[in-house]
Amino acid sequence: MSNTIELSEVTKSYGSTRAVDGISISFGRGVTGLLGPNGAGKTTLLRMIATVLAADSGTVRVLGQDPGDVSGRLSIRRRLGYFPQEPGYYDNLSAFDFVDYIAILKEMTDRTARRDEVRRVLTEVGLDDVMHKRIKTLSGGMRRRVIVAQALLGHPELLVLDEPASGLDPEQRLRFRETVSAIAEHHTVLLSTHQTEDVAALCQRVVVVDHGRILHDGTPESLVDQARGRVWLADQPDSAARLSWRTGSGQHRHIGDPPAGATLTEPALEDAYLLLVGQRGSNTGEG
Amino acid sequence: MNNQSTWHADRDLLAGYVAGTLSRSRAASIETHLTSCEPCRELMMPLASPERLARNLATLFDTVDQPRPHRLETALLRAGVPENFARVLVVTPSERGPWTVGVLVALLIAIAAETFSGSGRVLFVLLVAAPLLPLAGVVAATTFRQDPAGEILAAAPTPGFSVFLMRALAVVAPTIVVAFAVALLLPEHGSEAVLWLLPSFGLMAMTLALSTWLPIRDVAWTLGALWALAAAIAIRGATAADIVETYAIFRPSGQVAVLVLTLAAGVVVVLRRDSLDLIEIGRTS
Repeated sequence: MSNTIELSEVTKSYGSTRAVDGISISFGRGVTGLLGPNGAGKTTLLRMIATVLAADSGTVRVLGQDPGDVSGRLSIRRRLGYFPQEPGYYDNLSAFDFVDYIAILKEMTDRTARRDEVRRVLTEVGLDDVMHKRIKTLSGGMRRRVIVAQALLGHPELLVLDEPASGLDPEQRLRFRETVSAIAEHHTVLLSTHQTEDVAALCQRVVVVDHGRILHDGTPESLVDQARGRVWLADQPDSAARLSWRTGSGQHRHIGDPPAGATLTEPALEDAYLLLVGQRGSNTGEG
Repeated sequence: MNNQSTWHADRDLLAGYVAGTLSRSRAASIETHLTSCEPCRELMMPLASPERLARNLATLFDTVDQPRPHRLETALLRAGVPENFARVLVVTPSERGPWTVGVLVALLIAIAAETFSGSGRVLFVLLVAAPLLPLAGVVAATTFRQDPAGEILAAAPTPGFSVFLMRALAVVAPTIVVAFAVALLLPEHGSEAVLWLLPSFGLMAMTLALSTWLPIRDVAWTLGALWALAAAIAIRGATAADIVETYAIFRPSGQVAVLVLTLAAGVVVVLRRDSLDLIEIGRTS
């Protein structure tokens, strides 16, 4: 099966800052999670895939098309659902009217079919009861779900979601995961997040990005394995540890070299992520 | 004692009710009976076709979901404007109202001044100032960055160029109609008062054309300032009586030149429309 997205030696700079620094990667069916600190280049990468930003150099192919080419871009946009990082809405429209407006711009011209589809996506994200309320009267989590709903219009083959789950409460997050995993059975979902729990729960593949480069690409388990033997529990804090914090149980969790009297513990995805990003930070600090 | 009726509708009657072939009065009786008779409801259920029920439900939902349309949208739909176009015009966060009111107030003040002072300069100032207002309106309406949902729109298949033009139209049309109507009210200058229209279109077209390379805000400021500066330089030393004629753009040859420039800029916009497709074009940051 051919890949949905192929990137080769892609770069993008803003002034003297290299947001994406020669990334080559491909993505296929299923959910891929992009993890990375703020400013790592995740959003720039997703914007290039979502056809709203042009790469400075390298080649980008999405759904077999070149987003740099007008007809290619149109073809991609017809098969894409996109949740931008800082989505906005028109406060005075109802959730239904807003999604209906986006549906019009997504070329859904048949009125009855379009309204059915708008109802379907709003129900999918659990907003069926409030779809006729003005967006400004909805809670923050509900507003984000309105944006998720517009991304689901027309069963897109590719779903690009830039931090869609931030600001959702645990129940909404669970619902969101259900929605995404149902779509991912047949389609490609690219998801950027700060939440390692979302990655652990949803993603078959995790890509860690920092400073515009890829630090890890593999299953969540393979990322966890990188931290095996490097996560410790101790009764005392250790100032020499790379990362150390007091957990709810009163013990101190250390990542890196073992402090005195510490016992080895099972690593979580978060430990592995912190270890990887922290390492990269200290390496560049030295270099 | 069972308070349910002992009478039951037979299959044919129910089939007729479901198919909608009964007379209105019989259908009403059956309907009343059905609300209180469980066995008849059960007998009727398999007779109704699922497609028909789904269709009814869809119609019902459609009626319920019918958004209360904006007055402007209703008017546009009545005038035969396609639904999608009307929607974009109405939803566009264009500050359309304030612009139109602004233009109206500015022009009325100019008329009042003209009436009381009798100076020819007021008309000239009006002719120079009027094109700047729709220009500013276009800038306000067309930058994706100002649109809270701009990035979602940019990734939608409807070309940015189309949305761009629809929005520009949404702002400019009412502004121009108002300005045109007010300008015609000017005493003694009926025909001269519309001389600003072509320069107005020219400035907007050139701004859109240059905005395919440069941030639209910078382009609009520069062109607007050049327009006012050129007018100020042109009328130095002129007397109030022939001040309008002094500025070449308001002479017939000048108007033809502006028309040519407007058309050329239009061609550039059409040829370079694809550059309006990405969010980074026209960004001011």
